[in-house]
Amino acid sequence: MNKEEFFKRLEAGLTGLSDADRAEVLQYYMEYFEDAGPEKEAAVIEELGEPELLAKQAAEMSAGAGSGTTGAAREIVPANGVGETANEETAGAFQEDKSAGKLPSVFRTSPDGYSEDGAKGFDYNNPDMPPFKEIEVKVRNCPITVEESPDGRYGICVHLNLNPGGRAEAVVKNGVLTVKQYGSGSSFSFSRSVLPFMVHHGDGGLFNSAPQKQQYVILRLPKTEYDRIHLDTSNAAITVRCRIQVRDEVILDTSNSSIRAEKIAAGGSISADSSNGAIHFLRVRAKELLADTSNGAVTMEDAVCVKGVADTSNGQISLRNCRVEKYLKADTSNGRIEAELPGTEADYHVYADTSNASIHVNGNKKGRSYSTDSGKCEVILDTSNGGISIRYI
Amino acid sequence: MPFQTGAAMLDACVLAVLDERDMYGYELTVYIKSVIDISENSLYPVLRRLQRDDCLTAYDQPYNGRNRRYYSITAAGREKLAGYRNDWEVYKKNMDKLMKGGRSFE
Repeated sequence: MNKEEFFKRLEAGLTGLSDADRAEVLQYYMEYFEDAGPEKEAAVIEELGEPELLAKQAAEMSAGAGSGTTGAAREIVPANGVGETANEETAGAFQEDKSAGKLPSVFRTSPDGYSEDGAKGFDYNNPDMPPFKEIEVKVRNCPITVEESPDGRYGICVHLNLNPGGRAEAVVKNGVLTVKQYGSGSSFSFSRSVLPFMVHHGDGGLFNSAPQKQQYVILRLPKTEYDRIHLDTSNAAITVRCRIQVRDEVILDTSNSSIRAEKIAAGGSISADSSNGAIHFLRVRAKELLADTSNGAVTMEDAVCVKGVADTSNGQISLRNCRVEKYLKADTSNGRIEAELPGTEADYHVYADTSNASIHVNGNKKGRSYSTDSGKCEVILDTSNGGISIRYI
Repeated sequence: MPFQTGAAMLDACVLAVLDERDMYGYELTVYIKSVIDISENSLYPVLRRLQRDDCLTAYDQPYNGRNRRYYSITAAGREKLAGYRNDWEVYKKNMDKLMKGGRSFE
């Protein structure tokens, strides 16, 4: 039997599975072969044995949905059932992980916190939340909103719908708040490993007005300094609207939706990356401001930075009253560029170019190309199908 | 080796190894094989079962132009592992009692 034959037989044995399950099994063994290397191909085939048997085992696993371990898996567990009892106990509400020392780093709750409509999720707002300096959110199809805390407490509100087998965690550990979604689809399960802070249901709590069935991640942050913020989602908007200071970088990443950042300040860069969505920076401050999208407009307003880059393909770019120390670049193909530069012509070293439209400086037409080389701040404005307007304000 | 490694034993082994660090399928298999004989078993069903029970999560890391799926233990997995370690101590002691001195039961 060679590798091709192995996979042919394996796949034939997987016909009862869903496309996704089948792909996963094949992927696993494909990867296994690749990691072993071509020289071990024969040995791997020998070692793995009958593909039909592997297929049968995999199919049993996929068919056996739901929780619990199948009979065979328990065979060496002694009759006293220590493991099982321990699990039940620690699954209780607000179990604290005291192993870390002073502050509880992990909280657990019972599934009672699930909302009535069957969607699993928690709203929480815990006065005893362990402090964190770093935020890492990675979800899918779910908007992320970061706001200022109205009362100086942390507010964390996560609501994600679950696919079977989907998992997620929301924990504060070693000063890092992590909200992460695993598995395929828009799934978020609060399993035992999850930290649900205080649950608010219909009691006028902080997040009472939050929609029930939609997915969302809302973080309400006290105005302290943070080290790093990384928000990552897809097909949904990211909105950051709060006057907080971040020591290092802020990374905002989505696709097919917009990113809006307001008032936030970072010692490193603030970067926003979308593909089909607008990016809007308003009154933000950072060493580097980076906006990158393809089909969407980019707007930077009243921003302060050393270096600013706005990059899109099919969209307009507006740079309004941004105080830039060294370098400002706007690059699009099909869209206008409007730059309102604080100061006078003497402050900037401008290079502007459009292929099929004209450039206006303070309302005066300048043709298709315009440059000055007086000031310290370099400004590059580049488009193909769109006009460029520069105003010194 | 005449003793078989059952499903729960495999679960426990995988959890214990992944408790040290995240590994990809082949790496994990080679590692466990270097210690015990699991030639009759593929770890795929084990990994799948542990994932289903929320004991593991998987994530892809690009490697040489393809993806490698890494497996990572969750808090629930650690809990489960703690249970297994407990059970293992009990089991080991009981087995030792039988194997090393059956007469103590007389």
